[in-house]
Formats: sequence, C-alpha cells, structure tokens
Amino acid sequence: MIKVTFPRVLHAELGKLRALRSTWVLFGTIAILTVALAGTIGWNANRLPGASNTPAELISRAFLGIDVFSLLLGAFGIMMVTGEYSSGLIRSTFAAVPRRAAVLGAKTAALAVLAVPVMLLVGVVSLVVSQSFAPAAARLGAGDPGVLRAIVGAGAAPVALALIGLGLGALLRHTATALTVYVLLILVAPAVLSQTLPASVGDHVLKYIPVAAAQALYAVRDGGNPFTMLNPGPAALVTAGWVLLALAAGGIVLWRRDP
Amino acid sequence: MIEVDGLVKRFGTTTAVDGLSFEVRAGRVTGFLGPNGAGKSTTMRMILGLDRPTAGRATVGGKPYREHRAPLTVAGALLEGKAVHRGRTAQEHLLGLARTHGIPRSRVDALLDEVGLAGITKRAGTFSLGMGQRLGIAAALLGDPAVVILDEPVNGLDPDGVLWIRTLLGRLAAEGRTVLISSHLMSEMAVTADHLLVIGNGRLLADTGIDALLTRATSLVRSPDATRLREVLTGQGATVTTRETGLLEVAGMDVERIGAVAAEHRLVVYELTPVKASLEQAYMELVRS
Repeated sequence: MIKVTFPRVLHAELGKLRALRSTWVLFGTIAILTVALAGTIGWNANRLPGASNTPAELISRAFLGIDVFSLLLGAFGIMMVTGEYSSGLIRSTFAAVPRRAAVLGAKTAALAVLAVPVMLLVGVVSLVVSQSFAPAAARLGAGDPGVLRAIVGAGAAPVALALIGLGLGALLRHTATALTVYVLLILVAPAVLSQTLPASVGDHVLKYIPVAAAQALYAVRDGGNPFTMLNPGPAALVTAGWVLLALAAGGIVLWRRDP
Repeated sequence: MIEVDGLVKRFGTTTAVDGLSFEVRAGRVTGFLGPNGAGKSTTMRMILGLDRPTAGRATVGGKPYREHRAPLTVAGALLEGKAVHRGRTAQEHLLGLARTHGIPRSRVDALLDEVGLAGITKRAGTFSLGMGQRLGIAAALLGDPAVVILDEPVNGLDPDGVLWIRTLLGRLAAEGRTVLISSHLMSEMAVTADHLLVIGNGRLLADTGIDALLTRATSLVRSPDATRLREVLTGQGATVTTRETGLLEVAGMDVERIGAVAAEHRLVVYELTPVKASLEQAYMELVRS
C-alpha cells in the first residue's frame, strides 16, 4: 500500500546519500588519510630502537586522525540538511513527508548506518597499520584491556560529532553559518576555554565539552590524571546527551519554522 | 478539490496573504493569476502545509495536507526553483521521493519517459531550466495525485515545452483532477486555464471563468445614430462612453449582443470591433483597482 512509513523514509534517505558521489569521495578520503596518518605516526615513533610503546601510546598514535577527520564528517552531517535548503529540495522532501521529525530521524539513522561501519573499519585498519611498526611483543590485540572499546569508540565518536553537525544544520539552515558554528564549537571553544579558564575550573568543565567527551570514547589511559578525561561510560552518556541536544534543537526549529 | 478559508500570512509587518478564501474545483484547469509578489507562491506553500498560516485554513481533499497518510497521492506540486540536488540524476531524485511512499521504480521510469527525460544520466547540476522544469513536473505527478499544483510551470520552457505543458494540463483536468497553476502572465492563462483566481496584494480580486472576464472587455461601435444607440445599449445594461462624435466604447456586452440590439432597433452600424488584448486589459484593471 502506498503511504509514508518510517522505514520507507529511511530507505529514501539512505538512497539519497548513496546516490551522491561526494558521499563516497568523502568516506574514501577520510579512510585513506586517517590510515595514512596513523601509519606515519606509528613509523615515526619507532624510528629509533627502544622507543616506548605503551598501550595508551599505541592507541593515541592510531586514532589521532579520527580526531582531525571528525571535522570532515561533521561538515557532511551539516550539508545533509543545509544542502536541501540551499537547493530548495527541502520543500519537496517535506511535501512528501509532512512529519518533519521523521525526516530528521531518518537522516540521523541514515548517516549512522552508513558512517559507523566505515569508521569502525577505518579504526581497525588504523590500529593495525600504526602498531605494525612497533615490536611484535608490544602490539595490542583485541583481548587487551580497553582495545575493543577504543575501536568501537573510534567508530562512534566521529559519527556522534557528525550528528551534532546534522542537528546544527537543521537549526541554522545555511551551510556557511552552520560550518562556522560547528568549527567554533568543536575546535575553537576547547582551545580558548583551556587557555582562559583557571585550571581549577577547567579540569572540571572541559572534559564535558563535546569533542573531549568524544575523544574519551577511544582513548586508553595509563592511569594518569583522571580529572582531565571522563571514563568511557560517562563519556558515552555525555556524548549522547550533546547529540540529542543538537538534534532536538534542530528538530524543534524544523517543526516551527517555514522551510 | 482545494478549499482555502480566510487564509492570512504575515511575515513580520508585511502581509503577504490577506484573508484569501476560494475553492479550486476538480475537472478543470484553474489559473492563479497575479503580479509577482501578490502572494501566489505563499498561498500554494500554505496549501501544501509547508508554510504555517497566520490565520485561516487550507484543506486538500477534505483535510489539511499534512494530515494525509500518503500526501503525494493527494497532491503533487512543482514549486519555484530547481528543487533538486545538483549531484543526483533525475532518476535518483525521483526515487528519493518515491521511496518515502513505497512508489515502485517502474512508476519513476514511466514518468521519466513521459516528461522526456528517460535515459538521461547526467546530474541535475548540468540541467537546463527546461529540463529542471520537466523533472519538477515528473515529481509532481509521482503519486498519481488527485490535485496538481504547479507554480509558474511554463517558466524557462521552450515553445515545444510550453505546448507540452498545455496539453498535459488539459489532459490532467479531463481525467478529473484538480489542477491549479500560477502565473503572472495573463496571455498564458488565457490559453491554458478554464477558470481564474486573480489576486493582488494578497487579496482575491476575481474568481471567474475566462469567458466572464472577457465580457468585461470593451467594444468600439461606430454609428451615425450614436446618441440613439447609446440610449438603447445603456437601457440593456451596457456601460457606454462616447469616445468622439459617432464612436462609442461599450463595456459589459459582447459584440454579438451589441449587433443584435442595433438590428432590433434598426440602427445603422458602420463598425463593430472587440478591443484586442482585452483580457490583458481586464487583468490590468483588476490588479490596479
């Protein structure tokens, strides 16, 4: 029977993403650059014999790129919405699916369904390539503490940031505006806050900002300073909270404002 | 069937639509006519549940558009602008809309064929205005809708395309659908539409058949018995002004009737001319007043 259902809207949104060449170019670029960066860092760290290869170091070398390329995925999330506004397509979309929350929900699910497997794969390959330069004895396996969780985190964190981008896109509608706010929020705010807040305050506040919480998902610690980074469980909750906040704000604006 | 009741839309302090009420009936092409900025597009967007009315209500097929479970089967619309992502092909664009309703791929391909875009695999960013318009019309027809709403459908089409649209609209109306098309060009409406809604400054100026609007047109009558003829025509309800000695301008009566009235009273007529482009004039008069 011909009618609108959520699975159908999701199918449509997945199709819209898959049909764009830019989707595959972006995923390919992120994959290649992240793995290449992880390899380069791993190689550089082990150029001299006797280099230190603690689990925390191995993980951070492998996943440094995840951090950087989260920005690209965020821009992608933003443009999933703002691109429809700039072309006018959003009106056709909302005419076909008047329940705008369903459209936002489908875009969220479509982005996650496509990006999570890609980023998981990128995480695994990055770790394998990066630690291949370390002595075999030092290398991490899936059974080592925190490794599996860090890989899952490396898959989830960039997608969480991309979903914040999606929410911002719905909230702000214009690509340039949304990108600016996103970069301010993800890149500039942490840097500025860490420089301006007194350490006594910063240590308690900074770990809750989106990018820090997301990083905590794929970091492994050597039992160092526990105050500057959340534990994975709380970090997952805080990250999910930011994602929900951004999507809810975007959803309310979609519902209230004329497209 | 579209019903619009007391529709108002304000953007800040400007009122784009100011208390519009009308019905658009099935089985004929209704032209929605008015100068640019008269509120045509805003009204269409409110009918489709895209813009939220400040006051009033619009229904399509008996209830607000947004409450339908399969809205694309209720109304299909072509709105202003090339509402297509530049990176998708025509087929991918239509599939993106069709999938939301479970409309089969075969329907998409049949429509591409119908609008003359079958087999075109280039991406929409490189489409001409006319191809974009054809794709938009295919999108409007996707759900085989009972109501078709097209905003400025002939914009950017070549003469072939314009003819194609006219034929298509006539066919859609003949199939019993409700067809509403907007334009700022009276000349286009004169050949396309059966019925007219004329708006200006967000208000309804006329809800009339094309023929009825035509009778607002004037005729020039030259007669040696102008004074007598003027009395007779005025007596029959026409509005008559004397242009010059022996030349009358008659409004509110068509030439056939004027001729008949003159013959009845055995008055000599040298010339009886319907004033050309009268539809355009009638429209301009409506909009100006």
